[in-house]
Amino acid sequence: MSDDLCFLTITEAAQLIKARKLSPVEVTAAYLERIARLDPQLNAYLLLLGDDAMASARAAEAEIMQGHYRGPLHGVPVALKDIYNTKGIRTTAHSALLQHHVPDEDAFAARLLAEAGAVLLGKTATWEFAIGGTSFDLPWPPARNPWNAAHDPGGSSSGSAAAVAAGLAMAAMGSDTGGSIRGPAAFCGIAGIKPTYGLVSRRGILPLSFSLDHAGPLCWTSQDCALMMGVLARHDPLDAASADVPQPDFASVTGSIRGLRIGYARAMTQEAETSADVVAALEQAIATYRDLGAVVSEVELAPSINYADVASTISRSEGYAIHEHALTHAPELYGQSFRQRIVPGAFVRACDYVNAMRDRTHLVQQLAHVMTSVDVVVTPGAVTPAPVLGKGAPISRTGPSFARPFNVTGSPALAVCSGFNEAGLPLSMQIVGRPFEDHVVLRAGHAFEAATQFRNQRPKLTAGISAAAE
Amino acid sequence: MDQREQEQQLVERLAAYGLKLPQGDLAVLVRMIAELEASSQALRRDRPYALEPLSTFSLAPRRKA
Repeated sequence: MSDDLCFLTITEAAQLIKARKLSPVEVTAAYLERIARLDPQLNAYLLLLGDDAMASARAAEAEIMQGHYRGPLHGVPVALKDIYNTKGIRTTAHSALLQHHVPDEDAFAARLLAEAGAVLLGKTATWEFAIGGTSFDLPWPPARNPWNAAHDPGGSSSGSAAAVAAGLAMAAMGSDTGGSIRGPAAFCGIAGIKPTYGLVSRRGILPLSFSLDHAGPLCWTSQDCALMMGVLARHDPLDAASADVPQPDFASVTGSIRGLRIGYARAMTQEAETSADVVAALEQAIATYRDLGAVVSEVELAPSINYADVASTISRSEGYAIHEHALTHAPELYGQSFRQRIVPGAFVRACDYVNAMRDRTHLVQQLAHVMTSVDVVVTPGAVTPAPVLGKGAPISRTGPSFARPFNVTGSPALAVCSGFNEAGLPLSMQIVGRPFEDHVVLRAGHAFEAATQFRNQRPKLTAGISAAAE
Repeated sequence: MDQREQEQQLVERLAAYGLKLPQGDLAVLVRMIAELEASSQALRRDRPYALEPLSTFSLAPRRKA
């Protein structure tokens, strides 16, 4: 029974909580029990806030019983990637450098969730400072994939994705600089959205690259992501990149997609040598979209390497600027993978950075032109299903990425589960929209999920054993 | 230049920036720096008179989209 509570979506739980048929205390206790039982094999959490979570749940229950219902996140158990500052609560970026760091202020997004009445279960595992890769030389172990614990959950929002997929959080927050929400969402078979750049405040989130960082939610469904975005998409005058725009119409996520124009990036998919099972699932997804009345055509995007050159030049130089002092004074406090990924930023010349920013503008314009003839673009969510833990393809300039181009363009981009392969590992599709049309992207994701049965399949986990889903 | 020479050269380049890293970091760093420098090279392209602006600095308040 308590496991059933942990498989409720936010949409389902919110209806029950609002109707007073489900207590936030009951559902929070169910999550804490399930975390205690199963997380030792997944390492999704770095820090569990059991007592605080139960206190928040009791407060939520009391408010609701007094008629003060705050909205769909009231009483909903969530988790935060451990780069989101939390007042009075350790925030480490999964690094020895910040092993004892306790912020004195919440991240803006964390505060919004708290004000919406969400219950914070804990802080989740991440790649070190959101870039360090699956690492075994850090104070805490890496998270594992709930569909098969010998496999990688992806990163950098590894713990957040693993927690949602395993029923250890109803939703979790992540960040995405080069795919760090969408990649783990793809590998863990859940929905994860990198919103339009600037739509969700990054204030109080430990930065990797100011020009490419995005903050966003990971949930079981696109509709749940829309509910989260309804709370998170607020202008923050203290985040210089925060967009002061009307909030997209997230309530329209359940609307029809008849007539939606979908552009399939077939050439990019083939160029990446995407694995056959991923391609097959994507092409079946496109057929599903046609059945739902969408109009599908093919679109051509810029070569992947153009995006890669811009993204790596910007992210490495900005990331190095953030960490230069600590790297020169205490490099031993970082993991090896982090050092190897960030130190190259020391050698980016200022004029190379300027060129990257110039090319970024061109790539944004190119995509905008492509999207005059389509409403969304679809690509695979990842090149392959989840690799064995720590054995993913090494980062390389020519290595394909479906995620990175849309950090460069700042487009809203959603990963949704598109099926499972013969080994039971999730497959994924990415849906990309125009700036500030996050609701259109989520509507397309919801329509696909509602028309297929993939959301009915959960990882089969028992204490001490992780087995592939039935 | 063989791998050992590349790593030795890298140690000197790192030292110029005040960086002293474990020996075990160097092999991968040689590759990753080379790739990032290849990105920089690609971004230079044909820009004989690179007059395109990076961005326009402005203190005027932005209008809503």
